[in-house]
Amino acid sequence: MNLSQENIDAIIAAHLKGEIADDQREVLLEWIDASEENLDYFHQMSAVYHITHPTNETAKAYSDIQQKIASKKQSFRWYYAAAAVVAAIVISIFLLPTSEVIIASNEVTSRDTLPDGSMIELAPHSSVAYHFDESSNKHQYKLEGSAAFNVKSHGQIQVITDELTIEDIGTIFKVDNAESDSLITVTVIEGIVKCYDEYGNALELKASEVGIYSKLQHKFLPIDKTEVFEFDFKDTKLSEVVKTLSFYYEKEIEVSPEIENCLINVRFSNEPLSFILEIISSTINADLKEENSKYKLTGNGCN
Amino acid sequence: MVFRNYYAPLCDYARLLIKDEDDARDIVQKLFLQIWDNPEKFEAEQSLQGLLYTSVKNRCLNWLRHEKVKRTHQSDVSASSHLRVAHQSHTTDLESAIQSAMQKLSDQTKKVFELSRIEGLKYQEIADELNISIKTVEVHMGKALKHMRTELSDFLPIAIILFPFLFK
Repeated sequence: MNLSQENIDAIIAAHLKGEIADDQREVLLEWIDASEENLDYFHQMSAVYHITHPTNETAKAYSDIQQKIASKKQSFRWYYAAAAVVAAIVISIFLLPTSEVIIASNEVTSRDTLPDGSMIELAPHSSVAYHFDESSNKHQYKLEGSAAFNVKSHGQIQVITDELTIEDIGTIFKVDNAESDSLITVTVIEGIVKCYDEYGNALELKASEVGIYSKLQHKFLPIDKTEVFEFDFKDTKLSEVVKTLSFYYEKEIEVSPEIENCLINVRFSNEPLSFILEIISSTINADLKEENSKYKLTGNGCN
Repeated sequence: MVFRNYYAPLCDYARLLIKDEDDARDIVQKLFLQIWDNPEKFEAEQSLQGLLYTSVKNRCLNWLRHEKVKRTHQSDVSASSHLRVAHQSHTTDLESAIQSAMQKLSDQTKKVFELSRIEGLKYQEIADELNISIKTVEVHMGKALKHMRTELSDFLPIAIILFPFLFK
């Protein structure tokens, strides 16, 4: 069969959209097999298709694979882990500075003020232990799980996770470090943070930037740091939604009692607060007003 | 980076070979898992791209052989049994490059590309919307992708050599 380049491009386009006919499929396979150049051309057309038609499929697959690797390693190394736990207890008794758990959450997110005056939003099943390090004059928070920090004592706090230390230079940031996950994600909403591990890897993140650290590879993943910051509310009461938004945007939001329990299902990526509130108010048919530098949401019930 | 650059194209290739989207993804994921687990098995100094595509092809051929055996077995076991019918992140730079490349497309090609990319329409839906044949839609999309391939070359993966512990 005599094929023009235009024919091949059209057949590749049909395949990438998932709409290739059986006869076209045979032709394309034969064409790809014919030379390395053709295979490379197919690869590039596919890569172009995916960067111009983005989905989260690759990111999801990457995360699935990370989890599979993590669970494999766990099952192979349980006996090492047992020994490590004993060693860690011994080391923590004799070498590490004493710190005590000051806040722990159960099934729900909890919000509190930390000893240095900073605010914390602690994800479910997470905890924070505190220690003041006199030599460095730092408030050290050992975080198990995930939390967001709105730092008030700028330049004076360190958040220490199992693998990563995050040092704030005056900011609001969020650390996601679920026990089951092999990745630690640091998202900066405002200001700058420095993240570093014990292997000499370091990363500085500015507002709206995200850093992902692999606990398996002991390094920061080469992702685009400017990935958007997202809020993903699923069946969340409006009263909880506004608490979260108030925390991140540092703006007071008042909600009338009639709509406090309305359930919100919406996802936002890097949007301004006014836009988010407009969407929420139109979703539940509420009124939105901005008065005396605070927002007010009023309504007669949930739609 | 390797995963991000190669995962989706390898799935496209596997899907072309075996016509099953879920199993195509599974084959590619298992390949990456194996490379991650045993990078020393993949230390040969050859083109990474060639190695990945060859591995996927071999796995797909095995899958097809296995499916054939399964089908034969199923028809042996029960004459009445029916066979199962097989069925996050752009930089601003990239987005502006895409926009700028789109401006250079002819009006109709640009329209087709936009309907596919932004509206997420199927080719038949695009054909209906623009009152053209589905074949013409495929030709426009082929032209658009070919053009993008040149215009976005800085954002595309280049052939690299696989070194030990690339994935570790």
